[in-house]
Amino acid sequence: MVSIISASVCGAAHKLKGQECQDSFAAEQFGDVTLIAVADGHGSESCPHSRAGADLAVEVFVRVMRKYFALYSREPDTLRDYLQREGSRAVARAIEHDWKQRVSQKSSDIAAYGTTLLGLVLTPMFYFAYRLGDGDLIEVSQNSSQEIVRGNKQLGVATYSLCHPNASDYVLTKVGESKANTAYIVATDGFANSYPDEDGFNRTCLDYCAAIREHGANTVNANLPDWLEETSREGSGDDITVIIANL
Amino acid sequence: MTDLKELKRPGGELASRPLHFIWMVDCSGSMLDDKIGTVNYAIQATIPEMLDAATNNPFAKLLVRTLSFSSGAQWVTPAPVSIEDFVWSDLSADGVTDMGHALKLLRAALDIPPMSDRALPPVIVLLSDGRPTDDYKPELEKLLAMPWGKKAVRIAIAIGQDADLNVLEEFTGKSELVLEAMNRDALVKMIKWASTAASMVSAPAVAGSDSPVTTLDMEAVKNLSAARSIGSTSTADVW
Amino acid sequence: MSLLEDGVFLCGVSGKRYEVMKKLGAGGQGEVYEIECDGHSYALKWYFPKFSTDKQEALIENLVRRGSPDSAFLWPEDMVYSDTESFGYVMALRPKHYKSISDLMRRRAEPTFAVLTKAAYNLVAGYEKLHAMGFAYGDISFGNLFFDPDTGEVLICDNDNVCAPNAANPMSVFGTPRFMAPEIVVGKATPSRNTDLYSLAILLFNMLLLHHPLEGKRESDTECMDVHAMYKLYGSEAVFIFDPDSEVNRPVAGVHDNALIYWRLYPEYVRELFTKSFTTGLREPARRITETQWKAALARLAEGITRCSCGAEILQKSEPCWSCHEQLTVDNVQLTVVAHPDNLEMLGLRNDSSQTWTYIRADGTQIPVPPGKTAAIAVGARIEFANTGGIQT
Repeated sequence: MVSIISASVCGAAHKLKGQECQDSFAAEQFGDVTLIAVADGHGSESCPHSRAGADLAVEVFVRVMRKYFALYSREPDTLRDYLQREGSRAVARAIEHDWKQRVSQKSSDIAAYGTTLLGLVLTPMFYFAYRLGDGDLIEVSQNSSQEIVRGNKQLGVATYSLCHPNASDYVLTKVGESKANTAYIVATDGFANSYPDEDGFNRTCLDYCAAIREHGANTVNANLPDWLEETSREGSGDDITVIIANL
Repeated sequence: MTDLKELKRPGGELASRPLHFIWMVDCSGSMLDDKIGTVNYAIQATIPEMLDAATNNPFAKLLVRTLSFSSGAQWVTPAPVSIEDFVWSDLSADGVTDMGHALKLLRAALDIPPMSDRALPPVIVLLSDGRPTDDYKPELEKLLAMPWGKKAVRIAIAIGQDADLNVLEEFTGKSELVLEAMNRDALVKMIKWASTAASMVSAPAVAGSDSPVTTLDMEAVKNLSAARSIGSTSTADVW
Repeated sequence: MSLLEDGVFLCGVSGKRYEVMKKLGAGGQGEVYEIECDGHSYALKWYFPKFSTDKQEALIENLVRRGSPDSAFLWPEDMVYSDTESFGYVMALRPKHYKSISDLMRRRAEPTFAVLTKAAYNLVAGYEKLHAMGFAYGDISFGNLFFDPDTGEVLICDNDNVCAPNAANPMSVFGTPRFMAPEIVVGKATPSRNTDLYSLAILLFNMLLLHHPLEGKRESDTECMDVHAMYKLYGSEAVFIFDPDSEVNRPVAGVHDNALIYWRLYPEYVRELFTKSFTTGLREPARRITETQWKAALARLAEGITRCSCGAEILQKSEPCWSCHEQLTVDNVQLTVVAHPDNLEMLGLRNDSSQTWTYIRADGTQIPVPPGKTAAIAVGARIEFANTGGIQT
């Protein structure tokens, strides 16, 4: 049984300026599959509709993955093998295509909807991780916390985006074995950017998962929005979205 | 339904993202008296406003350092100083122009570590009135090949007519970011503008495209370029 | 017995010939004369032989060559020689109607706050230009500074000792002890831009409050104000008279009245700059208030000056008029609309001023509403605000 804990808060810096939150997320479960998607709209002057872009991105991820799972519903291991080979490219292209199509129904200015997208699909047998742009996909076991797909981190404030002409070329994916007693965290970069270094961030991921084991998912879920608000306030000031899937 | 407890936030210490600002000053003999005097005055005068801007931007931690070069190079500030604690000690001028040496020191400071990959793009302001006297090219190439070297916002202020504009353009990568100060007023103005670059480093940009990585207010840069031609016709000294 | 006789001709390096008209005065380093050339009048400072050194000559030459930072400076324009070893320099004549800051301090000039603030601003702006040239002044004092009592235009004089402070060429003239930065008084430093900023803060305090910021109880307790006492008062043991953390040097009523009277007249943002200047600024030269900060505060002060109906200039609206103690007009009444704690639909006006209001009920009953108390808004009632009118509710 996978429990999902999630919260998304508007960045303290955005609140100061009266801007809206640019993050969007989705977390769904069907059968024994858990689907998580998190998107961070660029929110700059050249991307005024990035919140809408982020909303669309998570919607598209969910739709595309649900479709694949429907196609391979009786053969999860075949799906796993396919994704490990050429399937992940196909998924990446499908997501890019679908998203761009939907955006162009609203406007011809695709760049104005620019957003990142992180996705994670968990099954009892395997996980599929998808990354386009900044953010974190972490696997946390009892004593270790590590990135599932290490991003080609764009330093500073630049990031890869769905609005790029060849967006799918910049998508990184990974298929891995799901382990028992493990938690998975998907977060926008406002989270990690609030900690001084990687060590601090890893310790934090471990602490959050320890809190779940000690106090239960419901309690952590109830406290999470406050914790993330504090994190944004004392840290990066950015929008923060964190989803924890606890196996 | 059990009561849900209010818990203390798990995890480590929080920190805003560091924003490194580096004054890189040519202290060669030719900067003596009036030029270095104006630089000393002008940089000190920027501190209260940088402090103000930092207070209005609490999610970036503004850290300032000074690197001086003449015969050899050295960090005037041994470690980055938070803007709240930053004070200016007057630089004096004497010696040649070992810019390569300075670039080497800069490289060491922009490496990861000591830089974190969570930092905001650093801002480097290079002030020079002449030609490098050492072999600066290999050092510059190595700097620009580094991740933070590439991403840093690099501004240059050319002081007087003997400054080597080509070298400065190689440093900044864009000719618009080489500001020419032909007299004292222009120099003061340009140093003031450069000090505001830190607050411009926050708008996100899309990577993988052709345009460069951070959004500096290019309108303001263009206006400043216009200002430099005004400056050169007004006051007495032309260097 | 003057150095130069009336009618003598002198040659300037510029090629001009000047005729000495009359002696205007003398100072520590030389004498000042009125001279004429081609029908124009100028001033000449002619050095005593003792001060006609090569070093001084080079200094003046440099100033003439660099040019004046700003029209506010009475600057060396030309160097003049005679057949003796001495030399001097030519500068513009100071207009006769200008008053010095000494005149201001002795109440021989009584400019309005508006003029005074403008003069202060212009002085700061002048020094800023000097510093931008890389120079330091070193000798900021009352006797060197003049202002037009009607317009606030300023003239900064005695600029022959301005130079670029650096290790090889420390400045030759040290300022007046009362204006000197503590680090100079105790002999730890020589004049520089940062010491100028300290002197500037002292000057501004004196101009705006007609009193010295370090002269409080400590000063009145000093029986013999000799060199050692001054070393402590202005140097090693300097304490601001309004230091928020130390009351040891507070102004003494009856002796230091100007400080007591004028301090509260100025808005908080001005007082804050002074406090910083004479707490942190005493020991940390690099953290002194910059010219940019002074200019911003003085401009803001100048813009905020209004007039009370009694004719006095008001510097901050939140206080009653210092002259007639009237609270300002109804437009500026200090009140807050508040809700009754038990019934949020009942509203009242809270008296946020320092004067007691009078609440007059519809039936004529009068009830005083002291500062801090609230008067209910009821039909037919009337509130009188101090002496300046009231409103009908």
